[in-house]
Amino acid sequence: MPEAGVSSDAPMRVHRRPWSRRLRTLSAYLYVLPALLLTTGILLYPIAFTTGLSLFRWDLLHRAVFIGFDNYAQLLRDPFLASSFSNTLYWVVGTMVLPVGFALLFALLLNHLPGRDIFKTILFLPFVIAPAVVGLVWLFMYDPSEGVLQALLGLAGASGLMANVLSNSPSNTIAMIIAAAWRGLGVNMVLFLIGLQSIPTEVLEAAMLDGSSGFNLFRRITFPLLRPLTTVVVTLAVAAGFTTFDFVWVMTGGGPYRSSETLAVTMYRVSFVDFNFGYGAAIAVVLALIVSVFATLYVRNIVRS
Amino acid sequence: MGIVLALSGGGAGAGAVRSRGLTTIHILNDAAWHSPGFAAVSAVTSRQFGVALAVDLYANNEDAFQSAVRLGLGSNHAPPLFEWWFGYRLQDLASTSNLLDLTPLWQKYIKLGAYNSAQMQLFSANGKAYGVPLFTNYWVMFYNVHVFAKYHLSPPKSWPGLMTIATTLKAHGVTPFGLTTGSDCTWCGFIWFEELLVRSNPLLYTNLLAGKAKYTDPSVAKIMLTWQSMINKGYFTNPGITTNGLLSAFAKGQAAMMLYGDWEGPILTQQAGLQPGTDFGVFVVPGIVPQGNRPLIVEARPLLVGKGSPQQAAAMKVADYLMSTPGQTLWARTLHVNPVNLSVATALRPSYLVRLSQAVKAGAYTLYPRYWEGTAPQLSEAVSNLMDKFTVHPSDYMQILSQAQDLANQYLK
Repeated sequence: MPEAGVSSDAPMRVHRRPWSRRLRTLSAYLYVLPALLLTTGILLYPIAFTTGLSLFRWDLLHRAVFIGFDNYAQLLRDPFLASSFSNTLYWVVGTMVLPVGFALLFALLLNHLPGRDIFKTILFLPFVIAPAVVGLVWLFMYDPSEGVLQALLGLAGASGLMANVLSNSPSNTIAMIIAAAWRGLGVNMVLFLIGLQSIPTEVLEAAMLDGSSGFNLFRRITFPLLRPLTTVVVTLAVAAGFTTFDFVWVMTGGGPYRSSETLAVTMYRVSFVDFNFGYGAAIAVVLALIVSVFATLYVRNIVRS
Repeated sequence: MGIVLALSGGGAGAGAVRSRGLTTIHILNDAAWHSPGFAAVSAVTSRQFGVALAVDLYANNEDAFQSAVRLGLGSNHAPPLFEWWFGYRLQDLASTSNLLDLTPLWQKYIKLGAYNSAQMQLFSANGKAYGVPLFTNYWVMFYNVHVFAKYHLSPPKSWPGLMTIATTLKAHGVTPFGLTTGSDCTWCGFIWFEELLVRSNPLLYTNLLAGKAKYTDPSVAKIMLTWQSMINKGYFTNPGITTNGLLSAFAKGQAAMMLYGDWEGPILTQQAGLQPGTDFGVFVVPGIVPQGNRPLIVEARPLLVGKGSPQQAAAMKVADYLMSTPGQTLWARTLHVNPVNLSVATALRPSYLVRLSQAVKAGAYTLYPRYWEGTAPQLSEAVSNLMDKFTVHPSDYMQILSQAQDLANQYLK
């Protein structure tokens, strides 16, 4: 009977398995479909469109003309692109050193401080203000006639120091990085504080029992344990540095005479001021490649180590 | 993305709207302060023609505004009405054949004596009139009446007279000329370049705009040296000053003069509470050479009709009304601006512009287009940025002129 039972059930099982498997596969696809559609719509399609657009000359008024890789060739000849690239590197370094470096320093200082929540809130507050608004606030602070910084320096008898801070290069880029750092420091500090508080106290105590303390303890125990978080913070900071736009556009417009442009600002200017959308798209493609390569190498290196 | 402001009954929203016999058409613009003018016009056109207006406002976002117009113009739902610039920027759009030719409308009003053909030229491209005239603004020097009175100064009659005023003011700790060239006004770099050029050599100015003269011409270099000497003497406000900072400095009498289009008058009144005549006055900058006394820089603001718009007929009714004497009267009275229509009563013209308007009408001045619209757009943008740089590094003038010429070679082929 059992054998008969087996033999009589077997054909049914053969039919049911593929059907249920198919259903499972289908339902799995249905689960990922919304994400797939969203990714395609807001990420893959724009990437494909922008890459395609970079092969055309298009001013939005006349028909787009296919010009092959001319826009990429122009990148190599464009004198403004070199200065945009160097300004972008300033931003990358600046956003690593100031908002990340100081955030780590503040987090270490505040970690064991009583009433740290008050300082944490104060330092975090600028982050809830939109970058463009922060840019405007700092623009007025730097104003050579009525700016608060000018007034403070005036009291110290050094008003000349701020006279042309946004009108000269590279002081304008440095001044804008300071504004961006003021906004970004708080959120990084909070992330580092979370990381510091998640380090098991036993590990630190064991290290201290072994004689480790101060900078040595930080270098050998605390910092390595913060590495996953540092990876996230640094990657985000570098990506933000490479794609800096709002602060520059609001505070200097990329000027004077394009001296403070970053790659993102150049991309915008070329596209929406000069209406050379193909060339703007070529800059966007190159910028995306640079950020992707950096992010991939950095994350891979961290994972390996 | 722009903001849609419904100005009259009939609702708002993208595309054509027709409800209860009222058609709503959209006007694209980038200047919020024009909205009360369109609201007033909408009230009349709703009543008279059943056409209401809604403004698609791209406030302080010229790039998005231009993109919206450019994208829409070639499509089958082109904007029925939109503001634009004159000169080369108008030519750019006209070259696409997507603008409605308004020459017959202009001719109708010229026959009635409401406009003259010189005015029509400002709103034309390639021999056809495309623009409904919203404004023509003259570029004049605004001066603080109280500062001038304090130091017993009066509007100058000659260039040396202007320089004497500047020296006197400087000696008393007042900055003679206010100029914003930083991020707050990336286009402002051309203002003094244009003025010094046209006051020194009007023909050279015209030729430079058209690419028939070179930026590296010794005469242009000489003009830059004049400007450089003024900067070195401390005649200008710090280049980094913001627009609001400059407005405040002018109102407080820390900066005595500002060179702007006459549209600055309503701004001084609305934002700084200054009254024409009692607080500020205007004068035309005297020529550096005798022939430099004739020119007057002008800018015009046209309202254009999209050819591909399904609401073209309704747009034409609004265009016709806006060109008429009642339409121009309403527009000028609402916005406190100088009407373009010559038949509008003098009493409606801003007091500080009455004499100037009469002088223009009498032919005392030759009108020259503003640099911004008078040459290729990419060139005017870039040269303005270059002049911005010059205000910070005046000794680099030859390098700047050389860069300007390279750009001219590129854009004025």
